[in-house]
Amino acid sequence: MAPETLGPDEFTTAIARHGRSLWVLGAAWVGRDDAADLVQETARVAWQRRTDFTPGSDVRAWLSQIARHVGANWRRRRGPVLVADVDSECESPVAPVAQSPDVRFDADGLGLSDELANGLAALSASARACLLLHVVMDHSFGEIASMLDIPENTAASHARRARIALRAALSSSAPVGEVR
Amino acid sequence: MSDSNREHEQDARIDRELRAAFAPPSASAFADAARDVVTPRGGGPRRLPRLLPIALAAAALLLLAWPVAAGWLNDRSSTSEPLTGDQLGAMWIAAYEDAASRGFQGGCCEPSFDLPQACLDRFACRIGVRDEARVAIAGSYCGLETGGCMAIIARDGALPMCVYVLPRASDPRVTLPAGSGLHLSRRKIGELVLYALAPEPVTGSLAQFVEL
Repeated sequence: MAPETLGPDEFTTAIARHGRSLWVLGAAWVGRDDAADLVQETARVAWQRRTDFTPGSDVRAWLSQIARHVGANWRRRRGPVLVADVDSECESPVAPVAQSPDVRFDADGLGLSDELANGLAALSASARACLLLHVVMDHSFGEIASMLDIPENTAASHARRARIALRAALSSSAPVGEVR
Repeated sequence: MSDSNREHEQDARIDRELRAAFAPPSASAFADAARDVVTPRGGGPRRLPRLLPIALAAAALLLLAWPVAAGWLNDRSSTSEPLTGDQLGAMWIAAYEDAASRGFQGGCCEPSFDLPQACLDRFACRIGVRDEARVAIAGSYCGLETGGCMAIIARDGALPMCVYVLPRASDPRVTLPAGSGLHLSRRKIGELVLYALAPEPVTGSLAQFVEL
């Protein structure tokens, strides 16, 4: 009879097996400095919610979903302060404050060029994740799509556009006189 | 240098720098972290997650507010001090994030939830959404404490939100703590007040709720 939920051994094996991918996803989602914390929090939440997991289904996709949701909460708290504006009669939406990049990358700390650090920060979290998971972890776009719950061609498009954006970031710093 | 050669060189540089900067820890490090979660050591986790301070603050508010909230929930005419707008805001944010961590589905809400009947049973008036409204009720939220308010998970198109319903007479004018990153909107309908908590402004969403 198949187990109804993840047992301790299966859970530990899953985290060990997919932790590196979750870390890279976390680095894209909340920044490299917080990636380890995000994976740990993901593991904690996943263990609490292990009865939600359907044995035999894609455990990496399930863990990635938890990581993305936890990371989204973290990113939201880092955004600009939004104060509720209550109107006496009608629904009152709060005017959004201009957004700055939600994740920053320390070029010196990471050993990245300034151009790439700034270029990465300017990407959406999804685009960063698609590129990093493909380049660093050598995941296929099908695997990335399942982790991000997006179509495979969307994952490929994200990665392609992210690479074009980073090329542009490198090109913008080209020495004077170089043909662009 | 041709464009294709330049792109090739740039791609090689991009890949080289990204692989060096984002090389993850070894698998054994994650195995250790998983074992700490499954079987916590006496000293607790190796590293405290960033969420912990906020979770502790929400838990502290909950502990302080619980006797008051229990009185409010059980007896509207109770002399217990009602929750303040700040306290409710903190509770609602914690509930929203709990629902968000579950993807706003499965395990935290009852899909068979009947909003008009639930409002009639609890508040003696029927509240629902307009016919052909773009807002859809996903179910009731039944996780963390929400200060005695009815908590609903709804979607306006693809945008999920938590909607909290309470009597106008008990509305403390809820406010959100700094740094939540969420938007809060409010609307009075009859003798009730509805608040919607969402990651974006939800203009028009609450307007689709009506008294039936």
